Amino acid sequence: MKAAVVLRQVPDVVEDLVIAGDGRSLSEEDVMYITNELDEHALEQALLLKARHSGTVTAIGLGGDAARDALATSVAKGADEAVFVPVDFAARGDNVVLSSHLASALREGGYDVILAGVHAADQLDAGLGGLLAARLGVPYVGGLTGVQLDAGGRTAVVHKEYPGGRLGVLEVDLPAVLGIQSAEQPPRYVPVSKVLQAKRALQVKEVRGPLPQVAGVTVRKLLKPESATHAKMLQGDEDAVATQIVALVKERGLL
Amino acid sequence: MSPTGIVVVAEQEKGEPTDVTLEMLACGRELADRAGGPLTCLLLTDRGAPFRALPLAADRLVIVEDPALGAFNPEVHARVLAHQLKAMAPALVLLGNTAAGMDLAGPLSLLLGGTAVSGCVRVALEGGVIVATSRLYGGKLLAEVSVPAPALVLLMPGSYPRQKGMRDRVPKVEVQGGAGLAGPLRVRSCGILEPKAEDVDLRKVPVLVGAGRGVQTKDNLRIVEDLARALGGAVCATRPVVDQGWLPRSRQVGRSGLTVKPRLYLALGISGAPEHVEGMKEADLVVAVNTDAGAPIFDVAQYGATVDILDLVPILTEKLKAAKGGK
Amino acid sequence: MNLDQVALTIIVGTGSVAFLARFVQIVLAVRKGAPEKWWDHLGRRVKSVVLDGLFQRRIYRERSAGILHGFIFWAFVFLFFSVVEIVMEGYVPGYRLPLGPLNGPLYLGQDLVAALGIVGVGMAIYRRTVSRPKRLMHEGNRAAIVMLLFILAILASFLFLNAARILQDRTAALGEWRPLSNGLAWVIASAGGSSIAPALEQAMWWTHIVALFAFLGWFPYTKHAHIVFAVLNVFFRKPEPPGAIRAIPAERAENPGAGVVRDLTWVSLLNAFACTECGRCTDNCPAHGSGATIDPMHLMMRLRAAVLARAVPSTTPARIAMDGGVPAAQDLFLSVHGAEAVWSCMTCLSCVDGCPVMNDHLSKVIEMRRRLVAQGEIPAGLQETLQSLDRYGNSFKGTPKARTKWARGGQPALKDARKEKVDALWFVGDYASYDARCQGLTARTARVLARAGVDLGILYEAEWNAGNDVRRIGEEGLFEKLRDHNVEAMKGSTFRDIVTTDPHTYNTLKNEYPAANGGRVLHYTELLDELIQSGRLRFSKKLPYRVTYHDPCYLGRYNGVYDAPRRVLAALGVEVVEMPRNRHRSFCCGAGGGRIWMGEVPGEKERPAESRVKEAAALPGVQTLAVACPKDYVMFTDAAKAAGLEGSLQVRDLIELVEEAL
Repeated sequence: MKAAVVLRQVPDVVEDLVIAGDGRSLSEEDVMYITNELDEHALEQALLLKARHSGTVTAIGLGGDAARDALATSVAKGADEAVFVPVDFAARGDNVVLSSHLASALREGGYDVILAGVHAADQLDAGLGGLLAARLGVPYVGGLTGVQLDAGGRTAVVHKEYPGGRLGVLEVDLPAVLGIQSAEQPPRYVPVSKVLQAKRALQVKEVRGPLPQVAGVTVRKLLKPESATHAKMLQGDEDAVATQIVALVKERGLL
Repeated sequence: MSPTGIVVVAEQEKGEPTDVTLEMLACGRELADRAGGPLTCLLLTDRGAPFRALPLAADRLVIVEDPALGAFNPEVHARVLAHQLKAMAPALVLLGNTAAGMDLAGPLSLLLGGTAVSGCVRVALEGGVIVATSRLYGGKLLAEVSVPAPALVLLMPGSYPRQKGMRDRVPKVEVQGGAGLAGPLRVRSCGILEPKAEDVDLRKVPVLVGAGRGVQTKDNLRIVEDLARALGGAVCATRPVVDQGWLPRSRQVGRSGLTVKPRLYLALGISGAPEHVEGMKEADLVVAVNTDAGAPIFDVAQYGATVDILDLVPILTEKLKAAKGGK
Repeated sequence: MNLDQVALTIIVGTGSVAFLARFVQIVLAVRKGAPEKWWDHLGRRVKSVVLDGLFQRRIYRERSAGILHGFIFWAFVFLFFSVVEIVMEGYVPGYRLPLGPLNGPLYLGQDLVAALGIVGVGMAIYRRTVSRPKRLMHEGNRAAIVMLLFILAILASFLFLNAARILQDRTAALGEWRPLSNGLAWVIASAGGSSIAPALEQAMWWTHIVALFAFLGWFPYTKHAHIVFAVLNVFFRKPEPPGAIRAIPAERAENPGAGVVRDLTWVSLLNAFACTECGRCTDNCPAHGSGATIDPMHLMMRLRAAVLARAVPSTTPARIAMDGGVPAAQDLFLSVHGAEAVWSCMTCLSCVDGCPVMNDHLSKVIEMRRRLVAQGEIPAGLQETLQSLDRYGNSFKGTPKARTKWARGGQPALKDARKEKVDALWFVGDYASYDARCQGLTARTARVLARAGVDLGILYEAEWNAGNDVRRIGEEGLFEKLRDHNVEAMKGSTFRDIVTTDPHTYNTLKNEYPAANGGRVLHYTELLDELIQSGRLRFSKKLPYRVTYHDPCYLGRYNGVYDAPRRVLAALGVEVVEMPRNRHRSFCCGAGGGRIWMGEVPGEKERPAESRVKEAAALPGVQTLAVACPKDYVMFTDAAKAAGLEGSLQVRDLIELVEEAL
C-alpha cells in the first residue's frame, strides 16, 4: 500500500487574525501557521492503514517553512517520506491553485490512496481533495470517519458521515482520493524528543517550480462579521444571573 | 447574467426536499427575480412521484429518475449532474454545503469549467457579477468573493428563510431517465448504517441543555444533567464533547449531528462555531453562558451571560427546583 | 569436637549459609539494574548515614515508634558483641572477648539495651495488637508478631542466661556489671529457684543460639532485610535535593524511562530491600487517599518481588509481555503498577519525605511515565495540554501575547526585563498569568511589591511555562525545550534575584535551571518576609482573623520553606491555627504532576482538595484558609464550593491579606 497525506498549513486562529491594509487578505507578518486539524486526522488514518496493511506513507507539506516542522512531526509519528511543496503566501488558501500544482507532483508517485482533510478553516473554494481527484482522474469521497482496504489493496471500503449519526458505506476502487472528517482514533501523541530527532535526521524532497496560473476565486473584501443581533447580556454574579434565567423560563411557561 | 439562469441541485430525504434545498430555492428565487432569468430545480432520485406536485419556488423542476439514484454516490451523482448541467449551461449552480454537496463541488467545477465557492451565507448579484459571502476560520472572518460564471456556490444551511423556497404554484415538471449512468462505476454504494436506537429523540424534547467544551470534564456533566432534569429536558452536546466520548453521538447537535428546534436551548460553555449553530439556531429561545464575551454564540442567542458555568449551574438548578416546588 | 559443638556448628552454619545465600541473591538481582553513580558528594552521603541511618531522625516523627525502634536497634548493635562471645564459648569454654577493662562496661551496656529492647518489643506488640494504626494493618500481623517474639526470645534468653550464670558464680559472670541480670537472678533466688540455675543456663544458652541463628537465616527473606540494606540505601541515594530530577542519560535516549525491572538503576532497585513496610508513604498519599489504586508501599513490595522475578500479578488483565525475553513478572506495568496508577500520582513528595529509610518512590513513577510518554500512551486531556505547551509555551492554548493581560492597566507599567536592567526578575508563571481567577492576585502582588519599592521586571511574552510539571509528567524533551527557551530569554536580561509566586516554578528554577548570575531564586513569601524584616514593608493595621495556612508541596516538602510564610502571617497580626496535617505532613491539593490537566481518576471517592478544605473548616473559629500558590488557590476555591463550604471558609492568598493590612 502506498499512501500520501496532504498536510496544509493554515493560519492558527488562537492568534488574532489581522486583516492586511488592502482589506482583502490577512496580514502576512501576523499570521502563525498550524497544520490543518483535519489533515492531522488524515495522517493518523494513513498511519493506521500502514499498521494494518503495511506499506509506506508519504507526508506532503504545503505552505511556508512551518510545513517543514509539520513534516518532522509526521516522520516522528511514522511517516516514511517527507515532501515539501513551498507555496507563496497569497496562494496558500487557494485550493484550485494547490490542487493543480500538487496533481503534477502526485501523478508520478503512483499512490494507491491519497488522504486529505475534507475541510480547512481557510478554504474558500471547493475542498482540496475533490479538486485533486478530478485533476488526477480518480474517484473522490469525502466526510469519512473510517477507511478499510481490502486484502488485495485494490478497493477501499469507507464510512461517510451524514447528519444524525448515520453512516453511508461505500466501496471505492483505488487509486482514489479520500477526504477525512475524523480518523478512527484521535491523532497520536509523539514526544518532543522524537520530533527533534526526526528534525535533525529529516530528509525532505522538495517540489519546486512555479505555481500554475489558474483562475480561482477572487477575494474582494475580508471583514469581521458584525451580527445583526446580539444577545442581551444578563448582569451580575452567578446568583443574579440564575435568578434572571429562572424568570425567563417562567415567563415562557416552560417551568 | 446570461439568460440560462440559475440551477438549484436539490437534496431529498425520505421523499421530501431537505431544508437546505428550500433555502437554496429561496436564494435562487431572489436572484432569479433580480436578474430576470429562469430558476431550475434539479433533483436526482429513485422515486420522483412525491415531488411532482410540490409548489417549489422554481420555474422548472427537472427530475432525473433512476433506481441507481436512491442512495448518494458521489461518482454517479457527479456524472448525472455534469450531463444535465452541461446541457443547461447555467450561470450559477447552487449546492448545499452538506456531506453530498461538498463531495460534488470540486469534480463538478472542473467538469463544467467553473469555479466553486464553499461556506456561503449570502449570494448577490452586483453589476452582472456573482458575489458570494463566505465564512472563514470557524466564523471569525467573512470573505466577499466574486465568482466568474459558471459559478458553483455551496450554501450553508440556515442562511436563507426556507419558507421562501415554496410559493403559490407548482413549477413545470420534466422527468428524465438517468443518462450519463453508463459505464463502470469506481464508487459503489453499499447501504446506510443507521445509528443505534437511542433512549431519547432530542428533536422531540422541548428544553435542551447544550454542553460544550466549557464544561471541561466528563465529571461536570453530572451537574448539567441535574439541571436538564430540573428543566424537564435533556442534555445535548457539541461535536468536541461527543468526540471525547462523554456523550453518545445521538446527543450531538450540529451539522453532522441533529438539527433541533426546542422551545429553550441553554448553551453552556459553547463557543458557537458554525457547525454547531447550524443545528440549533432555530430554537425559540437561546440563552448562552460562556466566559468569553466575544464568543460567536452570543450572536445567535437572545440572552447571554459571562459567568462561570460550573458556578452557575448548581445555583440555577436549586432555584428552578425551588420555583417548581413553590407551585 | 563433641556432639554439642557439632550441633552448634550445624546451627551456626545453617543460619549463616541461609543468610549469605539470600544476601548474595539480593545483591546479584539488584546489580542487574542500570548503572548509577554513587561516589560523588561522599561527605553528604556519610552525614546522611549518621543522621538518618544511625540516629534515624525520620522515624522519630512519630515519637513512640521512634523510641521503640531505637530501643530495639541499639539492642542489636550492642548485642552483636555478645553473639560473638556466646558462639565462641561453645568452642572455647569460658571465652571472653579480649577487651581488657572494657568488658565490664560492655556488659553493662548490653544489659541495659537488652532490657530496653524488651520494652521496645513490648511497645511494638502493643501497636500490632491493641492500638493497630491503619497503615500497619496491610499484610496481617502474623509475620511481624512472630518476628517480634523471636527478638523477645533472643533478648530474654540473654538476660536469663546471664541471670543463671550469676546464680552459679556471680564473680565469674561479672555480675556487678549486669544490674538487670543481677536483679533477675535475685528474683529467681528469692523464689527458691537457685537449683535450676545450671539447667536454666543450658536451656537459655541453646535458646539464644537457636533463636539467633534462626533469626539470622530467616530475616533476609522478610522485610527485616532492611536491617542490612537500609543503611546502604541511605548511603547510595541521590545527594541532590528532591526537587532536582535527573535527566535521561544519553545512552537511554532511544528508549527512555522504565518499563521493566532492569531499566531502573540498581540504587532504585535497592529501595525495595530497604523498605520496612511501615506504610508511612501510603499514609499521606493524596492519590491513594482519594481512591486511586496507586499505593507507594505496595509499589515497593511488588518491586521487590519483581526484582527477584517472583511475580505478584497486579489487577491488569493477563497478557504475556515479552520484552527482549523478559517475562511478565519483570514488566513493571504488569507486576508493579499499571499505567492508570502511574498517572494518578500528584508528585507531592509525601512518600519520599516520610520514608525512614530514604526510599525514592517518586523517581520510579517518573521513570515509568517517561516510558509511557515515549510510547505516546498518555491520558487524553494531557495530550492537548502538552501540544499547547509545545506550540504556545503555555498550558491554556492561549496566544503568547495574552500572557501579560493581567498587567495591562496597571500603574505604572511593569518594567520589561528584556530591555531594562532590574533588581529582581519576576518569573510570573502560567497559572498566575492566564487563569482568570489568579490574574487578580498577580496584579495585587505587583501593587504590593511596587509599594515596597522592589525594582521588578518581567519577561513579557518571552516567558514560557517553566516546565516543572512537564518534567514530572515524563516529557523530558518538552521540558528541555521550555527550559532552554527560558534560559535564552533570561540570558539577555540583567538582574540579581528571581522571584515567583508559583512554588512549582520556584522549584524548577531553583533546582533544575542553571544557576542564574549568582543571585537567589525566591518565593514571594520569602521576599515579603525579607521586606518585612528590613522594614521596607510596613503595615498600618493588624488583621483580627483566625487563619490556617496550607503548606504548598513544592515550597514546603520540596524546598523546606515553612517559616517565612508563617512569619509574614504573624507580622499581619493574624492568629495562625495549624491544621493536623501541617508542614511536612501538609496534604496535597491534587494539582501536581500534571493532574490538574488530566481528567478525574477512575474510582475517585473524595478529591484531595475537598479533604483538605474540610480539614481547614473543622478548625474551631477558623474562617480563612491562607494559600501561597496559584494552583492551591484554584483547587481549594473549587473544592470549597463543591463541599458546600463557601459560606464558612474563605480561601485567600497571602498577598490578599498583606494588601489588606497595608
